[in-house]
Amino acid sequence: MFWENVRMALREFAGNRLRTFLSLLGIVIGIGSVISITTLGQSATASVQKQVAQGGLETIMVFSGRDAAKEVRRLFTVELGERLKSEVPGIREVSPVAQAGYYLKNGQDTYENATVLGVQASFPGIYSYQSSSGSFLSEEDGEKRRSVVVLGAEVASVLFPDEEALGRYVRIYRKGVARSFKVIGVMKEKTGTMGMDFDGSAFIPYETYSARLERLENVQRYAMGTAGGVDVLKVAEKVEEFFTKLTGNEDSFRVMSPSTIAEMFTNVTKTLNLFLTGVAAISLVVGGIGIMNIMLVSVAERTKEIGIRKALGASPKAIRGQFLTEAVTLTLVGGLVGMALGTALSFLATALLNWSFAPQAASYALAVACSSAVGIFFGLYPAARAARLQPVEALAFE
Amino acid sequence: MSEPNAAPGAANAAGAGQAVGQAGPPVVSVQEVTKEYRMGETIVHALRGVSLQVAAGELLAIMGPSGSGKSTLMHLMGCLDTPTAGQLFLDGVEVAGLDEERLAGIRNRKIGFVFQQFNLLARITVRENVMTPLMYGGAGPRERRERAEEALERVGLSDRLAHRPAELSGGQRQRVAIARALVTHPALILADEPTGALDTETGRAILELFAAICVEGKTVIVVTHDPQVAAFCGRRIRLRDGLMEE
Repeated sequence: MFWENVRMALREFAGNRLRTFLSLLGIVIGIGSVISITTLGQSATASVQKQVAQGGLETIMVFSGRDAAKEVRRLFTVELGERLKSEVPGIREVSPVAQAGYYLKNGQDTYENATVLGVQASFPGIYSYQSSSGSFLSEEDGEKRRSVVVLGAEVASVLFPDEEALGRYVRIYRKGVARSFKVIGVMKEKTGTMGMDFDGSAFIPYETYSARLERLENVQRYAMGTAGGVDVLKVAEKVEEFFTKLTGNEDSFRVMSPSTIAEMFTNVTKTLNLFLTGVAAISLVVGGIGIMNIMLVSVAERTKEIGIRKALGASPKAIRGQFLTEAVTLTLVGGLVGMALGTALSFLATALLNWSFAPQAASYALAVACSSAVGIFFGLYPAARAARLQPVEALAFE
Repeated sequence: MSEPNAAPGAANAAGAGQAVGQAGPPVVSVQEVTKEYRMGETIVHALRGVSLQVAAGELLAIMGPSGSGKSTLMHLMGCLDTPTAGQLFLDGVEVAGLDEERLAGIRNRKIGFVFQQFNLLARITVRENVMTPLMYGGAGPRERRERAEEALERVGLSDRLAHRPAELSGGQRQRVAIARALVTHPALILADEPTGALDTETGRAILELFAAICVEGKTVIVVTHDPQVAAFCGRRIRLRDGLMEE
């Protein structure tokens, strides 16, 4: 009888297409969210892990807190970088980093929104960043506050499309500031990571940055490279201890390493998941109420049919089974549409975000379970009502 | 409360209904049955004590004006409702005190209904309509199909198996309904104004089909207010104000 009930239910839906579709919207949205959440969550985690792995697992960054008191911020000096290197085992290279957006200009060619980074000679060592021509900044360049610049690959190709960049001058400017810098090097291409856009950047000595572009009271960021073979997470903890001891306040600085970024991301996805799960739950409940409503309408409309079936010998149990099956079939149809929609949506999203598309078998099982459960729960009352109808009254219904 | 016809187990009519006289217990035995309804404040006495015996193979007409209680009597005999008092035996089984789950089983096995408006299920085919009672009886899909096709052959509709009810004429629809009533081989066919929605000639053909069914030993009870239909039946009883007058 079960398959007859399913077939009858499908025929019933085919006869009331618009109504069926409208009553299913809630379920479709609910199940669609369930699928999107789980798929996107998984894809996001996978891509972040991949990105983190690409982005130099061996680096650690420390930011000075914006809200830190002036006395505390004064502790973030250039010399502190040397102390870090000697006091925290595992740290191989340290460079203070200053950063701001500028225009770069060579004659008619302008590169807008270039990131000008004030760094020390140790910088390329930290990120395994290689020169393509010329050389990187030297310690002497910093000490003498020379106006020299090393260009990222993209910046160089825009400013010097057809000519040799080395030895030429570029203007670094923005409102109120304009300085000429001599190009002493061009870097190879490198994919940006952890808030560092290499190819769109121009590098000048840290000391020159402070002297000629923007006066720096204290170091805002230290980039650190760790020695090969050490546990970066452990070193990051040591760095954290070092700064806590230095400032006496955990909130006056922020240590970032690939692991902390991954953790942060996990927290964000968790929050997002929680939110979307809420959306899914609400739409499933709302969808379920919609199903209950449409089933009650259906029972009322088909009172005569129920009477006929009872006259033919359908027991209350059989009638209950029929309408319960109909409700579950309805929600399962909604679930299937939702799964298709959720899959399509997460596929599109992952394609747009350039993440890997990782659908989960478990989430589809969950979706089927959710839609059946909604069908059973919200179909019970209408089905019981149909089963309780008096045969004589039901038959007399027109 | 007179009981002019208290001839249990006897086919005492031999008119156009061609009732076949058979020994044995009556198919329907109604004993001092009353039925009361509450309609708001007032109590309606639909049946005030009716007794009736119907034998196997009888073609019985129940007549009476509207409000006479003939529909109520049919509902009780059809196990669609239960009497307020009195006893009711169907094919030897006491049905007065049964619950809805058991009554459904009795309706399924022992009774076939034929209605004025045919009452076919519109969304399914002719064959599926006839298969429906067998589904509730628990028969397997193959048996259902075979028996449904058999029953449809019996009423001359073998060529309409896959049609929808809406594609058939009134007479054909009523034949489908009769096939549906016959398919479980019930002891009793209850027909409520079976010719009421048909023209005279088609109605006549339906009555002849009933007569032929009776010859096979089934009992057919027709509720009607049409004297011509009643005249066709071997035995007639008349109800008025909830009482029987033969």
